[in-house]
Amino acid sequence: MSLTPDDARLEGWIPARIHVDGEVPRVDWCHLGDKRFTDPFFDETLERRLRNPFALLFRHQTSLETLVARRTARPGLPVRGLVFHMSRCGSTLLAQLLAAVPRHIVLSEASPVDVALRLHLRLRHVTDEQRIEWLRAVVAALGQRRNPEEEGVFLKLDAWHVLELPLLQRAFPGVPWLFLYRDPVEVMASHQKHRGAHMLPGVLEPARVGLDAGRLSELSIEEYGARVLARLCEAGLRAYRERQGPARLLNYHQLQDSAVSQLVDLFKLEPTASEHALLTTAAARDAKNPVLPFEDDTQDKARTVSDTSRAMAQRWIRDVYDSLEAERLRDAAAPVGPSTPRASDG
Amino acid sequence: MEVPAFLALAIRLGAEQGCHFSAEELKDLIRDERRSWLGDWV
Repeated sequence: MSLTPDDARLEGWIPARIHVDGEVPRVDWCHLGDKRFTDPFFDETLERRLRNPFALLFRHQTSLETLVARRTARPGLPVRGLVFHMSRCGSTLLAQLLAAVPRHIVLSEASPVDVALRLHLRLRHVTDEQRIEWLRAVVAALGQRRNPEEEGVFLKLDAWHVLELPLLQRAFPGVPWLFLYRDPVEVMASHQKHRGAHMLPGVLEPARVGLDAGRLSELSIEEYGARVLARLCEAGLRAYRERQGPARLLNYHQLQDSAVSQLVDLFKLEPTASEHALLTTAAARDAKNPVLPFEDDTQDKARTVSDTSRAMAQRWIRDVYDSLEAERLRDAAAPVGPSTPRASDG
Repeated sequence: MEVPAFLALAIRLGAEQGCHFSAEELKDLIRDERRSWLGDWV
C-alpha cells in the first residue's frame, strides 16, 4: 500500500523507527492513537504501546521523503523548548515535569530524533540542510496534536546531542534551551553503577568527542567516559557563550528547590493553578520510577564512587564544570537575567 | 486489546474470510514482529 505525504491514513501514527535498508532510509510508523508520551523515555511509551497486538502487528512503512513532505501539510505543534544535559544529572525529572502538563508533548530521548541526527554517518553526501530538514520532519510528525489540549512540543535530547546544539538551534531558531549538569564525581558514580551508551568506547564517533580512534584501547573505561563527559560540558558551555536566543545553564542542585520555577521562567509555561499542582506533584516523585518519591542521592554517590572514577572526574571534567558554574553564577547575579541572549560573547 | 482477545478475534475473522490459522501461528507472528520492531535500528 502506497501512502502519499498527506495521507489521512497516517493520522494517529508516529514515525517510531527509522532504519537504513541498503542505502535507503525507511520509516516504520506505529499506531499511537491518542496515547501521550508520559513515560520517562520515548522508547518506554513505544514499548508499552507495542504490547497491544494491533500496534505490534500492523505498521505503515514509508520513505524518508514522504515523512519530510508530510511536514508541509502537517507541520505539527510548535517546539517550545529544548533540554540538553550531560547525563545522570536530573534531566529525566525535567522531562517528567514538562510531561505532567497535558498541554505539552514531551519527546524524551526519542530514538527517531537520534537517528535523524546520526543518519548522515550511514549515508553519503548528506548536507546539514538535509539533516535539519529530517530533524524538523521527525519532530513535526511526533509533535502532531493527538489530544485537543496539546499546544506545544518539548525535546529532551540524548546527552550526546549537545554536540549538535548549533545544528539544533538552526533547526529550531529562537526556541529556548537549557543545559543541565551536575558535579562530575556524582555523574561518574552513577555511570559506574550502570554505564550509559555514550560512556562505552565505539558508540560515539571518536573524533566527535575529540579522541583518536586508534588510541581508544589505551584508555581505561573511566578515562574514556570522563573525557566524553568533559566534551559534552564543553559543548554546552560554548553554545551558551555563543547563544543567539534564550538559554540557561542549570545545575542539578538547583532542581530540588527551583526546578518548576526554572522551567516556568525559561519556557514561559504560564501554568494554571491545576497545572501548577501537577508540576509540584511530579517534582516530588522519582523521575525514572514515578511510583517512588524523589530522594537526593548526592551523599550516596559520594560514598560509592571508586577512586579511579573520582580521579578521572577531577582530572578531565572539574575545570569545565567550574567554568559552567562561574558562567551560571555570573549571569544569575546579572540584573538582565540569566536567559537573556548576548549580542556577542567570545 | 489483550492478546488472548486479539487472537480469538483474529482467528474468527480469518475463518469468516476462509483463512484458517492457529493461535500458535499468530503467537509466532507476534514474537517475530516484536523482534523486528526492536531490531530495526540504525
